[in-house]
Amino acid sequence: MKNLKQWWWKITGILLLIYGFTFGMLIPLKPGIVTAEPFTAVLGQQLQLNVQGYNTYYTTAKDFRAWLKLDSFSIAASNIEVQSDQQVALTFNLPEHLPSTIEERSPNLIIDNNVDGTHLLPSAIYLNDSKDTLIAKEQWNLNAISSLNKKSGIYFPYRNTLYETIRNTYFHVSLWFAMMFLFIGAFVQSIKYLLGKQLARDYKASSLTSIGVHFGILGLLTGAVWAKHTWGAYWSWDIKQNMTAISLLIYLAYFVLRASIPDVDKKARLSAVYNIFAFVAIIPLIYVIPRLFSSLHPGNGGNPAFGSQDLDNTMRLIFYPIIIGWTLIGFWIAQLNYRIKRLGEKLY
Amino acid sequence: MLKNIVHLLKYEFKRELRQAHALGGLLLYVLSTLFIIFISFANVSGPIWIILYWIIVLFAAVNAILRSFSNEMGNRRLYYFSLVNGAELYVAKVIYNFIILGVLSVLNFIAFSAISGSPILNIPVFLFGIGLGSLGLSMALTLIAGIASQSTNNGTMMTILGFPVIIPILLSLVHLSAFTLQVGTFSTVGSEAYGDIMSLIGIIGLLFAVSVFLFPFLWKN
Amino acid sequence: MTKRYIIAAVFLAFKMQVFAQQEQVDFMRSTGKIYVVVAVILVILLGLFVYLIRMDKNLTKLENQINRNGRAKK
Repeated sequence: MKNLKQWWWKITGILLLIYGFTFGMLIPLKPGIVTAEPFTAVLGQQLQLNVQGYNTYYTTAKDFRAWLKLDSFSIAASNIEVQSDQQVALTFNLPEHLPSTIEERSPNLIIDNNVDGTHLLPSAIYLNDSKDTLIAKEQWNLNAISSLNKKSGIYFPYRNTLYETIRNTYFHVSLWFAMMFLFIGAFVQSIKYLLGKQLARDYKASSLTSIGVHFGILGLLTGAVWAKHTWGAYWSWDIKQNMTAISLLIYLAYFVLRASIPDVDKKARLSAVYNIFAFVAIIPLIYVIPRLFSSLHPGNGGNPAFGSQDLDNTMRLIFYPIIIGWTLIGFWIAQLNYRIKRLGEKLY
Repeated sequence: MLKNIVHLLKYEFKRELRQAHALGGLLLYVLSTLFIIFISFANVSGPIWIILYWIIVLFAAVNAILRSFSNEMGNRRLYYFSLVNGAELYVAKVIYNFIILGVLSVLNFIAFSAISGSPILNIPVFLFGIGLGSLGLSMALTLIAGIASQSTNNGTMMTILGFPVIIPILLSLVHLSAFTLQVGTFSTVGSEAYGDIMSLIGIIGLLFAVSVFLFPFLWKN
Repeated sequence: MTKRYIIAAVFLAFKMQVFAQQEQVDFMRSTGKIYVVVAVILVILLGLFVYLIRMDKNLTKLENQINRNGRAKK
């Protein structure tokens, strides 16, 4: 029974991480459209659109329909030729004019069938005017898209340019949240040290900060790998990248400070003061300053991590457990570090 | 409380006047930096002017504030603490550093404008920025200097501990100053730079609250 | 003559390397960029191993101290 009390949160951490990693990798993405070629079309002509699907099963699909949709107007594909599971050629007879009330020239491509459900490519093509514009005829249909299919089962959302890397939300972003929880832990322990002057509190604070900084560095590295393959560069001087790098610098300075003071009690006191100060100082770095500047990260100008569209309900089911999992594992590692320090103290 | 603070301030200024050469050294530092900038750039564009200006102020601040502590090592510090409590000492130090820094930044502004011309068209807002900036810098750096002065080789510790902490203040200041490159009254710029001013005030308030809580712990043994 | 061969070989090796790099970029972007996710997980794993090694070193230092103290007492 005593063992259970020691182990339950560590085991919970392990189980949550196993759950998160397994399902974070296993659950497939929703069907989506990678590209539709050509990229431009001329109004009034016949358009053959070659569509490249992702995670789609076009050959087994029945009831296959496709539309080009501008605002609430649409035209349906006149001919659909499925070439493979991921490829289909769509033929559209483009009207000679845009709908009379619409200025927008990039319609969305919507594909619907009974197997893959509805999937779409935003702003699929750009519509040019033909040279000899004729009399305006309303060949666009208003609100004609109906009885759409829904893909059943559990899927992660499909996003162009992100594709499968949307899973990195669980592995990269969760590290930041876990880091913040570890820093909060260190902050609380530092306050407790200043109030009670027990050295154990100082050991706890420095152990928590140590693993927190380590999680932060891992977050920075994984972010760099992800950024390389979505934004094109390991480091793009994005405001959030810079601010997190600076907040890690603040905490690295904490260890420099500790190393520079030989006296144990003085070290504990000064580093507790600095730790509290550092924690308060990084709050504006992470929550205030990024709002003043534009960023490549999602959730710009509001929530520091996400906009509401960036995380759907299925993703939450993986994302939150994995945050709790990393946090618990972080506290476990910190506890191991703390116990090593306690042992070292007993030696003298 | 107030009496103690005023008394401490008087003491600080008396001491400062007794060693006027140190303050002169700071001014000399600012002037020679300006001279180097003038020689190497000759013509400075608006945004770069602002960044250079704040960097000079930052280094002057680090030097000035660390100096205000380095004079008080040893027994005198313990004697102080027996007379007043830490929070009062902190407030006195912040006010003192704020005045020194404010004077220094205004002088820097005048000298910089005289040497390389000023791109600042909205001077009231810029002066307001200077006020907020010197207040924020002195608040953040006073506590850091208190920590650094107790560790070994405090000059290096001051830069290591201080720079990352004041980056948010510095960024907001540069962002705020960028608005002063256009003509405008206080109210028109005020509405544009509302976010910057509020974030600066927020940061300053936060730092003040936490420093008042932490400063007494620096002196107890 | 041999010199020319060496130069040619070095040149070829360099070209192959460049080719391999290009191929790797394509590889990372293939099958929906899933290998980016794999790379991220590898980074996390390696990072945790680094921390493990550091802790191991600390513990070894401690053990050595305990052993030395024990011998001194005897």
